[in-house]
Amino acid sequence: MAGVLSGTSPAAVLTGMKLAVLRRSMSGPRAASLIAGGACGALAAVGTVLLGLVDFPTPEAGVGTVALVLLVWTVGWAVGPTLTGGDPTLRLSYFTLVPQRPGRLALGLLAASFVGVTPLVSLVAFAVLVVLGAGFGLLPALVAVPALLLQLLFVVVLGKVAVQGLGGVVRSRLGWELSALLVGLVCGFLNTGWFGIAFFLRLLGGHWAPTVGTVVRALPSGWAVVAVDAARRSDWALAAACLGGLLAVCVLLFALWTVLLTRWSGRGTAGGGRAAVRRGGRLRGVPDTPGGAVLGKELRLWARDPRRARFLRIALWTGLFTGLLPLLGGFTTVLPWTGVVVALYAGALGSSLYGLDAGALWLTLVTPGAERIDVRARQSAWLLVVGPAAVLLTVAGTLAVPNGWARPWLLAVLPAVLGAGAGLVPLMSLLGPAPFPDRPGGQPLDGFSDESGDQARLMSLAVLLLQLVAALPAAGVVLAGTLLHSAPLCWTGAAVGLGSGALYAWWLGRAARRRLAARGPELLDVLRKGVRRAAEPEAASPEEQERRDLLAGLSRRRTALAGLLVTVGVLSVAPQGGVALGMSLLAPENRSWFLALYLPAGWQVPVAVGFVLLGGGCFVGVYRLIRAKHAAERAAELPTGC
Amino acid sequence: MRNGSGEADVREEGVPALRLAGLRKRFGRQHAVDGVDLVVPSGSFYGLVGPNGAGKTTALSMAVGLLRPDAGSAAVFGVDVWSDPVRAKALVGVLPDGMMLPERLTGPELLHYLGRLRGLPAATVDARAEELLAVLELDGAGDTPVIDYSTGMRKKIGLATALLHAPRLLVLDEPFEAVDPVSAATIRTILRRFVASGGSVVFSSHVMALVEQLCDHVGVIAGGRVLAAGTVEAVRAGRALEDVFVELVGARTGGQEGLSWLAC
Repeated sequence: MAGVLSGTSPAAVLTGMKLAVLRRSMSGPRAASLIAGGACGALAAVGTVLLGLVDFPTPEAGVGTVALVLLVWTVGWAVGPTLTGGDPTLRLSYFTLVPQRPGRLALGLLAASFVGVTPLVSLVAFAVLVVLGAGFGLLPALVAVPALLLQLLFVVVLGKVAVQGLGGVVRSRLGWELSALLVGLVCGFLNTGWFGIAFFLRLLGGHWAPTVGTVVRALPSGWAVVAVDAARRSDWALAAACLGGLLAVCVLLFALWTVLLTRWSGRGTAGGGRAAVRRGGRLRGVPDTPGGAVLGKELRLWARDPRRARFLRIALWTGLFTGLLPLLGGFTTVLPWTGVVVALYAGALGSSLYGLDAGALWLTLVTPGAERIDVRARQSAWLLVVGPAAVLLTVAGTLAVPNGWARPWLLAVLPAVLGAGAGLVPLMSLLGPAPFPDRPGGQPLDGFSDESGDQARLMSLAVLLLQLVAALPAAGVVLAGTLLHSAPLCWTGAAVGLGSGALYAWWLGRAARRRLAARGPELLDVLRKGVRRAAEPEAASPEEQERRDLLAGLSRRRTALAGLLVTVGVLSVAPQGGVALGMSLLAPENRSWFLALYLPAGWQVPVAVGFVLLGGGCFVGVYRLIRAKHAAERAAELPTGC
Repeated sequence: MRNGSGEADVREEGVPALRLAGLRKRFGRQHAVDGVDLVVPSGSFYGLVGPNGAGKTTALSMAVGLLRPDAGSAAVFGVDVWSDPVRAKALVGVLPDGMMLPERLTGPELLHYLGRLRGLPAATVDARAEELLAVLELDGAGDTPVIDYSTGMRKKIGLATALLHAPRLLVLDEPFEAVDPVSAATIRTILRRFVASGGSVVFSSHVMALVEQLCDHVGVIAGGRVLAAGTVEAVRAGRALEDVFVELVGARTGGQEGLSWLAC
């Protein structure tokens, strides 16, 4: 092993290793996730590049805007890995025993980091420097080329330092609370941050503008564009200082990362925080029945397991930020919905419930008749953990913003969403099991970056959307009541919400129990071995391999298409459809990025509804793809089945 | 040690504790288990031996309902594991290989939860759990979550979960692997007592001496097939079990060729 890395350059070895892993990863949910992420990234990158072509009133305004956008990309690089768990292909633990100086190993790992979709997308985005420079003249364009490369180097090294630094921080209690808060802030901003866009625009355009302009230029993320601007003014000293400074920052960050690596490899992979367990005894208030026993176990795990606790925190913070961020723009509309958002995210994040227990499912399987008790108790535990918080936040939000019209809506939607969540959490985690073994000394971020992580993310998205769909009947009744100005009909919505919620919890829970009873051993196999290994046993014959390759080729294209359809579907149904519809009725002046709101008043609602229908069509398409895939798999299984 | 798990109708004499008939399981091109027939007589202490990858774990997983066979059947005291799982599972205690547990529970919590899930009265569960933990020398770790257990402690708490409901048959996959000599002696004693009081034990191992010392019956399995089975005396026919095993499996002891670069 020593010879492998010292003989040739570690950079070449590790880059080759990463390429090999990536090549082998291009199937199933992994590919879907890469393609969907890559497509979104490519859109953002192209948008960034186009910024270089915009005719700004002054060159300074253009430079300021580009510097701001580069700051956003940089923050994305720094924060992104804490959401996804860092580089899954080349884990540091693989190299702990390789006798290699940390500097050389770090250099190799850094080189390998340039392989992948994200650096490529960023390279495209940073080409905005060259586009902007070309607008200024030949020399600024030439300066933009090293600036572009340094910018990319900067974000990649920064990302490394962030994940290494935060990875250590996440081990501590305070650290993972903070990281959950950060994730919640990002999700909340993505949900409703644009409500506060007026605030941010004021910040950029008002009397704060010079300060903001200075800050985004002064931060290292803005130095590349400042260098290009300096070249325009033939201020070569400043241009050189900016580029040299950026290089120096990269070197410093690299040195810091090397130090972090050394510390990490010295500490080894074991250790990590020990879970403090108070003398348990029996949980008070939990019924002393078999179901109560599982309920007690589940409640304890929700409290003790750092991964579950992290999910709950993220759901809570996401809800709070989703409700609170619009207040910056003076919008109070969303605040009462905080509890509903918490319930939605707790459902989405809980969609890997069975996966969190991983192979421990055998305990349920060897116990006679335990499936029903297990599913029902898990449902109750989820409801007990999430329900009170969601209800409390809803009540608090309603009291804080006494707009009476929201109440029937909330009363209708919240129970439906909670009931659907309680049903979907066990069902989806059994339909698409994504194992995350709870390893001694493991990090809460572990495992969320492999195939299981992709599977879990797909399931999370599915649960989120299905919970929204589940709220539609109750919301429809309230909508009818609002349109017909009938108060009794409005309040009937609450009854419908409660009834449908109870129905979802019971019916979906029954489906989960049936799946567990019918497919228990197969589920255990996936949960023990992981999504990929269990899914692909070796082919029995060359013919079977051929058939399977054909199927894999088909499914790769289908997966890509499904990823695209899901992305378009989500964007159409949620922001461009549903939210735009609500905005056109409630606050048409805040157009933000809602296409419908840029149209004449009479067209807004039909176009928004059109988007909902388009998104619905996308989801029907995904459903049909999945059906077709299952049919193809069944057909392929028949000749070899026993 | 046994009472209370609804086995009144399966007490007839002569019904084997475990009968595997024509079990098959294929993973891709590899036949992990290729037609295994095995009879574990009631009241026997049965050792299943075989080299790595012989199909022991696969066969035992199919025997207890943790892995669906491609073909064949498994019956516990005459109750089919796959067509009547509820009755069959009540009769068996299982210690699977590479067993995962709800890591954040403590030992006593885990046993309480499992016992109640099996429908035992709370008082019974707690009394049995306390006794089991004391006998297995885990009573000092009452506040330690399972995730912080050592490998040996994990095996012992696994054994406790298998014994808790007083099964009539214990199916244990490598119960002595990675267990220190003192704990191994404890486990051996408990298993001997279990058999002496009428229970049946099947366990897999690749330590011949252990099987020779503990078991009255042995099955040799390799390449997914049973090569020999019966009483230990009959199978070894006056020789050492290890010699019979090497002869049956047809293994040559490797490790002689190559590796010249290892010399210092």
